[in-house]
Amino acid sequence: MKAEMIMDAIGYLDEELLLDYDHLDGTEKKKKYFVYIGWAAAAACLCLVITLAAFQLFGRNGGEGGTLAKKETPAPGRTEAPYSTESSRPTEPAASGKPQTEIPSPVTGSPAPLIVPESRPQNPQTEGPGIQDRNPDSERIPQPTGTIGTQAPATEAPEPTPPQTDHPSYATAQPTQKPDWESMWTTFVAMIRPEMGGGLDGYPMAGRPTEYPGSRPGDVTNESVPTETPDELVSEEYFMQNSNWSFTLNYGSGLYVVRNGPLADAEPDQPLGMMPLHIRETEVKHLNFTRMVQVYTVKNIAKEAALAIQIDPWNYYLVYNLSYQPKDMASFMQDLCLRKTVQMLGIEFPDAENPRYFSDNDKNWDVLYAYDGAVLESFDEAYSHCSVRIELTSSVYGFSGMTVSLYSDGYVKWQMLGKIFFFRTDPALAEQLKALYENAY
Amino acid sequence: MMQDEAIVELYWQRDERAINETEMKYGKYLLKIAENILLNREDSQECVNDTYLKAWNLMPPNRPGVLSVFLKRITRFVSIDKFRRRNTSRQKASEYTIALEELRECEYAEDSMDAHVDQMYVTECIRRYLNTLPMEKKNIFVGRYFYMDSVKDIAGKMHLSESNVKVQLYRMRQDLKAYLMKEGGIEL
Repeated sequence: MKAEMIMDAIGYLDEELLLDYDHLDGTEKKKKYFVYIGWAAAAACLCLVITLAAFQLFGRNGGEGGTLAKKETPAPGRTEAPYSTESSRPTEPAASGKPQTEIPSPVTGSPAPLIVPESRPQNPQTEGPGIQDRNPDSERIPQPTGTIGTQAPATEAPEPTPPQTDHPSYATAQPTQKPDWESMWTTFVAMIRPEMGGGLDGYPMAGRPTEYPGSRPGDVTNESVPTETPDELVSEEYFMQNSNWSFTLNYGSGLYVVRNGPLADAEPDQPLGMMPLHIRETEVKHLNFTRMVQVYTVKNIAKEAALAIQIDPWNYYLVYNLSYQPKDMASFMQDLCLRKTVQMLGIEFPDAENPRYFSDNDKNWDVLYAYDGAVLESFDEAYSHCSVRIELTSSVYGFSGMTVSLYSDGYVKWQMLGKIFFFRTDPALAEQLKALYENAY
Repeated sequence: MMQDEAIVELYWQRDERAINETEMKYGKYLLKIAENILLNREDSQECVNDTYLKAWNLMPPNRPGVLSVFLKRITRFVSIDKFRRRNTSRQKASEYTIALEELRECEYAEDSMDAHVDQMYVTECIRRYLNTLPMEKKNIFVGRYFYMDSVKDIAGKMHLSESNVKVQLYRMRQDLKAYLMKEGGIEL
């Protein structure tokens, strides 16, 4: 299979497959920028919130850190919690000059304020002084003054007593407040959420089906372009005439089949709607599939006899009703509009010693219309004798060289619509008509 | 801008304003498709004019449901036809030629599918294959191989990166080849 064939086949894809992309245009690109702007705004807000939160948190910590540096040498009477963590540090100065709670040093028994980072428990006995070099906060860790025993665990630390604000050592000290994590988080989320929501709504998420107002994929009609077909473009005609393939259409109670290539002169008239065309290849690969096609009536031809379909965008094809049964030859000629659609090339009399051939189209039809009362009837032509043969051609029905045969026993044989019709009239009338023919020329 | 139904009605009434309205509404889109195929402004404009003429001849009896797709399909066929009639040795690499070269990855030997199988069946297979894809992939495929848009244009329309579009197209070509080979001998 060649790439050109695939490319051509893509050209025949249904409208419903093409609609979605067809609705994408330049405006979508502009929307993209708005989406980016929205995301940028959301990111800016997020950064602002984080900065504010960080300032609120670490700004105070920094200030406190400044005081902590001073607290390494606490003021007289200043009480320090044994572990200087945010949650356990006393926030108020002591009410009096004497500490209310003291952790005695294991060696000296004097109060030894310890400021230990939460994540790194200090064990000077094992780590020794070298830890100070590695720990950036080492200057905040007071050196043990003797043999160090086990430190008091944090859970054993006594609750700090609310200090007195009028203590002179804290007269200039900044009061520290416990950070309100819950309220900060609530504020943070409240600021983030609208931006985040808006950004997600505007962002084209992968896999999300795009809907376009006004597009109705299931409610479109097939299009078709019946023009001359470049040989290198389309090989539908070959396809249709390939004996391995059959095309059938059900309309009303009739089963319509495709017999010929694209219409040359027949004119599609009124659209009848989209209908399934059943396509089968049963000889080689046993392929079987269905394709929706637009169905039309054909100008001057009864829809009970034949219809036109569009298999590809460029061509119409005639489909003949296999179950078409005209009442008599008059209705047959009327349904198929034979006088307009079929040309008589000539009349031949096989019985004559010198077969004669006439090609007056109008006169030939006049003669044939004398049979209009003949009724449709089955007939075994093997035992009958053909007295008149009329050669026909039709660009509408797509045949050439077919014949109408008149038999001496009153039958008329038509080869039309892919099958044979026999009409019977009175043998006497047949003889009269034969004589009429012969005399007419 | 006139609505599509009104434009089609003008065609049916044999009103020549239909051509002007069509050109006003869809002229630039049709020209874009033709240029993607032909890479030549004058030839493309000629194809667009041929599109108007064919549309005029086709309506009636046609009454297309989606006029834009109807016109673009005509332009695509007319432009490809013109492309193939030109001297191929002098052709520059238009989006059509690039897309065609890409589709060569989907080619395979004839014996894997009956030689008689042609466009209608291939169309049916491609249609079925596309219906298995999510909307985004389907649109990328259609944009590239029906409308002949460049990868850059598709990426812009689909809000994707060019590399993402290229990767998806490559994978779809591989999948399509496998799908065509598989479906070639199986009753659908």
